[in-house]
Parts: sequence; C-alpha cells; structure tokens
Amino acid sequence: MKKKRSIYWLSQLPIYGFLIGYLLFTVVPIYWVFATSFKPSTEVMSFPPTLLPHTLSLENYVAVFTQTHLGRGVVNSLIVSLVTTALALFIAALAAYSFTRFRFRGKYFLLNTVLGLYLIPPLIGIIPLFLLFNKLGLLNNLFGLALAYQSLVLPLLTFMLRNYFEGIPVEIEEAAMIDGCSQLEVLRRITLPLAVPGLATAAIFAFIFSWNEFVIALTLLLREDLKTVQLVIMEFVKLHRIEWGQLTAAMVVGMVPVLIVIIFAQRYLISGLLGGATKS
Amino acid sequence: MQREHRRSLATSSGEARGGPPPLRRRKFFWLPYVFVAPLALVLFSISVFPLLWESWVSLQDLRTTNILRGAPFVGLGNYTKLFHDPLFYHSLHISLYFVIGSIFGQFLLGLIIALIFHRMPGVARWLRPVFILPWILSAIIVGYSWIWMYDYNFGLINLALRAVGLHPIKWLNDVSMAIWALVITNIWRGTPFTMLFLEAALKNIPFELYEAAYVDGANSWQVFRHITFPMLRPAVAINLILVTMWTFNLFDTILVMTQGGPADATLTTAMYMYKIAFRYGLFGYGAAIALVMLAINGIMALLYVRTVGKAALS
Amino acid sequence: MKNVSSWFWRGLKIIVLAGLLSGFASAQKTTVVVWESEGYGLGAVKDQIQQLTGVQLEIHDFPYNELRSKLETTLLTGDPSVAPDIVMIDSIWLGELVTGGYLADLTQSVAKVAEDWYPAFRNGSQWPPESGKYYGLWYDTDVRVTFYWPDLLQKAGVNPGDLLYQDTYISACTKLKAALKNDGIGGCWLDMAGSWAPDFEFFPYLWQEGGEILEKKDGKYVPAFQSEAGVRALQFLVDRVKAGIDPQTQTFWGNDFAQKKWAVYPHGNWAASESRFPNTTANQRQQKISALPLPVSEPGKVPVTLAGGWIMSIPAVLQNKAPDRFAQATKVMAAFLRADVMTDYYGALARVPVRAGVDRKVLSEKIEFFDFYSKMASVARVRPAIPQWSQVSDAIFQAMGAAVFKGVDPKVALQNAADQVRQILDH
Repeated sequence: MKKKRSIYWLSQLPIYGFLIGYLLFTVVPIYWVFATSFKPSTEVMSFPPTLLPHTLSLENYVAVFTQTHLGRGVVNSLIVSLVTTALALFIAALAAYSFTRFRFRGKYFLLNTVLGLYLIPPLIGIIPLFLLFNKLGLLNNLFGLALAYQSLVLPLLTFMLRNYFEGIPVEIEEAAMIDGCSQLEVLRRITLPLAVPGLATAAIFAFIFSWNEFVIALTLLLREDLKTVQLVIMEFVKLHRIEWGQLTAAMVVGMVPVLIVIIFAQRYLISGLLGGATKS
Repeated sequence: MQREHRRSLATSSGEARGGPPPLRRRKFFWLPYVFVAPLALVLFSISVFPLLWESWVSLQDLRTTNILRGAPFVGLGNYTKLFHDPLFYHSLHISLYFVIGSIFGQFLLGLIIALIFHRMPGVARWLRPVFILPWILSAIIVGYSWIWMYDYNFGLINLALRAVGLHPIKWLNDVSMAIWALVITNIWRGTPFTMLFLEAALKNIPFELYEAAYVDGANSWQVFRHITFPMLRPAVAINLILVTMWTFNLFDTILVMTQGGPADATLTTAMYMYKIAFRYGLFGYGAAIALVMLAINGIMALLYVRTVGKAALS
Repeated sequence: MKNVSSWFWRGLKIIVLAGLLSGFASAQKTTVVVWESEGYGLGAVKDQIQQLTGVQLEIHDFPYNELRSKLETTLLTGDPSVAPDIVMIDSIWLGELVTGGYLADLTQSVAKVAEDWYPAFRNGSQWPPESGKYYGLWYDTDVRVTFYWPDLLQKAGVNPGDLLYQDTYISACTKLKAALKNDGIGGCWLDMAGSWAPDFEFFPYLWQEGGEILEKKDGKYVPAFQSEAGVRALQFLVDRVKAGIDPQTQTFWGNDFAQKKWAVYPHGNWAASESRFPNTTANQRQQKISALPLPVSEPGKVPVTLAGGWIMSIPAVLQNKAPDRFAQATKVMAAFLRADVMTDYYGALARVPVRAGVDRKVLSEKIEFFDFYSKMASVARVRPAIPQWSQVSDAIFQAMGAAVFKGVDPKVALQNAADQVRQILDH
C-alpha cells in the first residue's frame, strides 16, 4: 500500500514524540544525579535549583574519596561480584548441562525446585541467613557473601544456561563422542566454547546482580572495611541531613562499572534477555 | 498427561530426539549427579534452610525479648493474629495499588516500545541500550536518584513545575501522593524488562501471518487486534505473573525511599513484614507474614504454570 | 577453541583462590569495638579515652536504623565474636534488650557513679524501673523547647511572652503566618513527619496536664494516655491545626529554622547548636535566636519537656563468655564516665548533661542557653522504655494522625489507640 510521503512522516511524528518523551523520562533522573555531583556544594542547595551546573567542580568527588572508604568499597564490590560470578557460572553451567543432556532420577523434582525457589521473597532469608552464616563462620567475609549470593543468582542462571544449552545441537557432541572423546572432554572442548555467548550473558547478569545487592550485604557484613560500594553510598545518608553533592558523587562512582559493562557488553545482555525469554 | 505437563516446564533437546547421547551407562552413571551436586548442595543449604527456619519460627512467638531464653510455641496463633490485623489488610491494600499501578504503567509503556522497536530495528539498536539503564541500576541508586528528583525544594520535577507556573507537589511526603510517586519510580525501573520480554515474543510471531493479513488488506489496527495481540497473550500472561510477583515482593527501593511512611501510606506487605521484624522485633509474627506472602506467590506461580501449560499445548 | 576453555578454567581457579584468600584476610583481631550512632558516642572523646586507659578504640558509627537491625541480628546469635565490646543504645530500647538478656549487669561498676545523675536519667538507666539494677548508663540527653527568631516576632508585632501559653501561642502563630507569608517564611512549625512526632507534639503536653503515658496496675502496664489529660493535650494539637498551623510531613531537623524559614520552631536543642549554625559561638547564637519552654495550658502549670538520649552498655555475652573483653570494656566505660571527659563530650556535641557534676562554666561558653537546657533537663520526663515501646509509640502516632488528618474526635482517637496498646501490652 503506497502512502504519500508527507502523510507518512506525519504518522511517524507521534512515534518519535513518544520515543523522545520516554528517552527523557529514562535519562533525566540519571542526568540529574550526574549534574548534581559536579556542582559545588553551595550550588547544590541553591534555590531555585539550576538545571545545568553554573560551575563545574570536582569537590564532591574529592570529598567522597577522602572522607569515606569509597575506593575500598569499589574493590570489595569487585571481589564479591567476580567471585559470585565465577562460582555461579561454574555451578550453574554444570547443572544446566546436566539438565539438558542427561536423564536421571529426581531430575524434574530438582528442576522444579530450582524454579520454585525463584519464587521465594528474598526478604525471608535475612535473619536465617545471618544465623546460618554465623554458625558457619562466614560472617564478615566477602567470600561468605559471594556464597550467600549464590542462592539468589543460581535459579535464574540455571534457567538461562539451560535454555542456551538446548540451543546447541546434540549432533556436534555426538560426533565428538564417536571420535572418541569422553563426556567431560566434550563438555570442556566443544560445548563450553560454543556456549561462550550464553555464558557471557549469564556472567553479566550475575555480576550486575552482586554489584547492586545491598540488603544481604548489610546484614552479613558488620565491619567498616568490608563494606561494598552500595553500603558506602548509604553512609552519606545521615539521620539529620543528606549531603546531596557527595551522595550523588558516590552514586556516580557506584554506577560507573555497571555502565561500562552495559556499553561494552550490551549485545550479550540484550540478546540473552531477548533470546532466553522466549523459551519457557 | 501428567508427564506431558511436567515436560512442558522442562523440555530437553537431547531427550526430544529419543534419548541423550550414549552414556557409558554402567561406568559413568553417576556423572549427572556430580554435575548437579554443587547446585543442589548450595541451594538446599542456603535457600531451603531459611524457608524451613521461617516456617518453624512462624509457629512460635519469637521476639527480641525471648530469643536467648526460648520462645513459646503458639501453633497457628500468629496466623490468627494476622487474620485480625487491620494494618495487615491496610498493607495488602497498599500493595494492590502499588502492584496494579506499576504493572499498568510498565505494560503500557513496554508494549508500545516493543511494538515500535519491532517495526523500527534501526532506531531500536541505538535506543535499546539506553532504555535498559534503569533496570540495571541498584536499588540504592534508583531510590536516592528519585528521592532527589522528588525533593520539594531542590528536586528537578518541582523545578519544572515551578518553571511552567504550576504549584510544586509534595511527592514523597504527602500521604496520598507518596504511593504514586513510588509507582512512577517502579515503572521507570521495571519497564525495560517488560519491553525486552515482549519484543522477544513479538519476534516469535510468524511473519507469514502478517503477510497474509496485509495481502487481505488489513490496516495496522486490525493487524494488531487480530494477530499481534492474541499471539502475544501467552507471553503477556507469563510476564504479567512474573512481574506481579516481583513487584509484590519488592521492598528494597521502598526501604530506601520511604520506609513505609509517611504514616504507613506506602506500607506494602513486604514493608510491613520488614517493620514487624526489624522495628518491633517480632520475628515469629514477621515469619508468619513472610509465609503468607510466599503462599500468595505460590498462587501466582500456579497461575503461571497453568498459563504455560496452556501455551505449550496450543 | 582450546584456548578459550583453558583460559576459562585458569581464570576460574584464580578468582576462587582470590576469594578464599580475601575471606581469610577479613577475619582479623580487633581491640575495643564500639558501636554508636550518628556520632553520639566515644568518637567525640576518642583520644582522651585512649590516653587514659591505654586501650585502642575501634569505633563503628552506624545510621540509627542500621544500628538497631545490626544489634538485633548479632545479639540473636549469643556469639561473642560478632558482638561489639561497648554499644550505645537509644534509651527507649533498654527494656527490650534487658528482657532479652542481651545487656550485661553493670550495677557493680555503675551504681556509685550514677548518684551524681539527675533522677530521671538515673531511673531511666535501671531496668526494671527503680529496681536498682543497672544494665547501662544514660550518658547524654537532649531537651525539647520552643525556639524563635526575635526579630521576626518583632516584625509581626508578636510578644514573645505569648508563646508561653497555649491560647496565646495559637494567636501568635496565626499572626506570624499572615505577616511573614510574603517573605516566604512560615509561622510556627508543627511536626507530624514521622514516628517521633508524639515526642514533640503530644507527650510534653500530656505530662503538663498531669497525665501519664502508661501506668502500672497489678504489676502490669496499661495505657493511661487516653485520660482527660491526654484528650486535652491532643485537643491542643487539633486546635493548632484548625487555626492554620499546618502539620509538616517532611522534616529537616532544624536546618530550615537555621536558614530562617520559620519564625517559631518547637524542636530538640540541636536546632540551635553549632551543627546548624556553623562557625558561630554560643554567644552569637544566643544573640540571634531565643528559647522558651513549651507552652502550658494555663498560668500556674509547670512547663515540662521530653528528654531522649543514649545509654552506654556492654553485651551480656562478654560478661558470660569473654571476661577479658568485659574487663577492658568496663575500664573504657569508667574512663568515659569521668566528669572531665563527659564535660568534653557535651561540649563537643552540644548535648545536655544528665548529671550535676560537670564543668558548667566551660559548657555555658560552648553551648547556647546552657543553664536553661540544664534546668529543663533536671526536671524533664522520659518515655517508658518497655520492650513494646515502638509499637505503643506508633499506635499513639496513629491516633494523632487520625485526629489531625481524618478529623476523628481526639477522645475517640485516643480510645482506639488505648485499645490497640492494651492488646500490644497483653503479650
């Protein structure tokens, strides 16, 4: 059906209008945080507030790194996130492979339990986890925190990787086995390299999740020097006043790694969400 | 029929073809178990234990004042108390507003964007990474960003309202506005997930259907009504139930932004449980609330299973 | 292809190893660990105490809610390794924590020192009340009074003396609101911003009318705030709102008063401290603003104020399972409780003394209206620190909200709250 050019453009206007509107809606709160962080503290609390910073200043960032241990918080978060991701990938990949390729007793029970655990409100776990980890001596321990995060990350990761492995044709593995490879070798040399995109997506999810989490971290970490970056950001919120300049600067620092991940790895993230979501 | 139903939840490509690759059955029959052992171990100790603990605690009147000495067993006493608790019903009320408001916004926006992206992949390539930003930010960052946006004197929203001559709004400190402020923030945060989910579902609609429709002379609206929407229904249903559950369980952003205030105006059920356990120290009662929440989730999950089952068969 | 998988395994091993190592690295030994909140603790006098005792202090400062939840989770375990050596608790948590068995019995070390204390705070440190058993010592307080800007009152033609009596208080506020409206300045502040609102807007007036929050009947606590006195107190709140004094649902903790956004501000004494007026002396502040007791209903009634504050305690697990740590902690505590150290503490943080024997000259130079605050603190009333206090307080706040925002009759609102509180206390 042919439409006249002008009418076509006109009909596209509301679409572009909507997209621009939503774009603004999405970006403005983030912009506001960035803008505030670069304002000197006198301008932050000026009334009426300024849309664009009149003076650009790094004083908030300096304050944030000297007055608190934000740098250490970043390092702690990195450690926790990397360990969580590595551990989760390992556990979930093995299990997902098993669910995809093998048939064994208790398989459906386990699978449905894993999916079922996904439904538990995370709120339920705070106190029992604290008690359990105290018994296990895993409090005040970044590795312990990574272990705690497994319970929150594994169901989704197993689900995702299972979907992904299903997309890898069995024939390739069978061919290798005919050529004399053992099951383990097949997994190691053939399936895993093919699964790298799926693993990458799963890794990104696990990393972002651990980086962002704060409730369990708040419960299990009792020492200042172990605080993750989200917990350090919370330090800027005092009972009687909030230093918005410094808080926003700390928030920007907390956002940066996730933004970097998005910029470089958004292909994986999006394809993982788009691809994985269709198989239910 | 039962087996079919279970399979519909967990299909395996290896099995559908009549069997997994030849396992050296006698030699390595234990291999699958070794592979799932770490998962089972971790999940049963770290996920199932809290569930069992909370169930046990919900049957006791456990509170800060009697933990070290042993709490009295009250059986279903906490649950009967909950049944008569007006604040609990208030929290369900608030949760209802929160969930329905969030879902309505998320779905409306998510669907529109998914449709647009589906039709215009070039635009989608650039906008998609930006649009998923809210979803990947932490609750702390989302919470404080929006507190700052909503600030009565210094926030951007009131700045804009004043600029056009309107009266600034109290947002998070107004007893009637606060919950809607939280709903807006939650829509902001949750739309990307729905958007991607629906876009994926759109991709799965066979192109031939559209071709046939256009050949028959259908316009865009008819296409949407008779092809797109019905084909999207299973995905929409699944997404709806997942998001409902997550929104109902959500408490991190609310904890950061209002802690259930002002005057319990944003006290969702999840926040109520948090308040009972951590402000009042009534762990037994809080555990009962948590388990009731779990039951509500379970009901929603049952709906999910039914829908998926139907979708798989259709 | 082979490289990818071998890198994967190598990387995995390295990361897991690093994680394990970091885990071990985190489990280190500490000295005397102190948990406090918002700076109101040993942090202010750290150097002196370290000098006096020779002990290193490791001070952890947590936001209020975080301190509370951390206390709950760590004390749950009964494990000394996660417990702090000294902990500062909000005075209203005392009953709950003692009943739970979390706090050490400090009667031996503390009872003698407490003789110097004002009665309200000496009693407030004991649990059960008046039993002579100390599980900590209430070491600092704040008082709630009416602050105002004299120049603004002058501008509006309002006599400051009007702020002393409730009916003239209301008319003064109406006048102020009208006169200062165009300058963007509010008249009188009224706090309904959170669960602390009863502390500012109800309890002092309840006590002034001769009422009580709770009373003991047959050894059990029952609600008493729904009495005639309570109704009158709540009526004062409703009258203020009806006269146009708007209830505020967002608080800035006195920062807005310091910026001259309000003419009259009933609040805690921190509103006039250096923290709100940076780089000023006490004298300078006394020139700018003035303070009066909270308004009474009729001449002849004695103005009362509510005093909050912090109690210093030691976890019971230390007394039972780690006697060395316990001994060290008591040593640190004794050092803090010295009159000279406490004087420094009060001076540094503008807190009001709970005891008589401090250096009044030094403090009146550092703290504005010092004599006035001290006088109010010496006759201040405190909230009952029963285990269910936060629930009782929330029920009363609900009653206030019902009367103010939903137009419920004060008597009915208080009766409903009393029914709720009866249920709460029955358990």
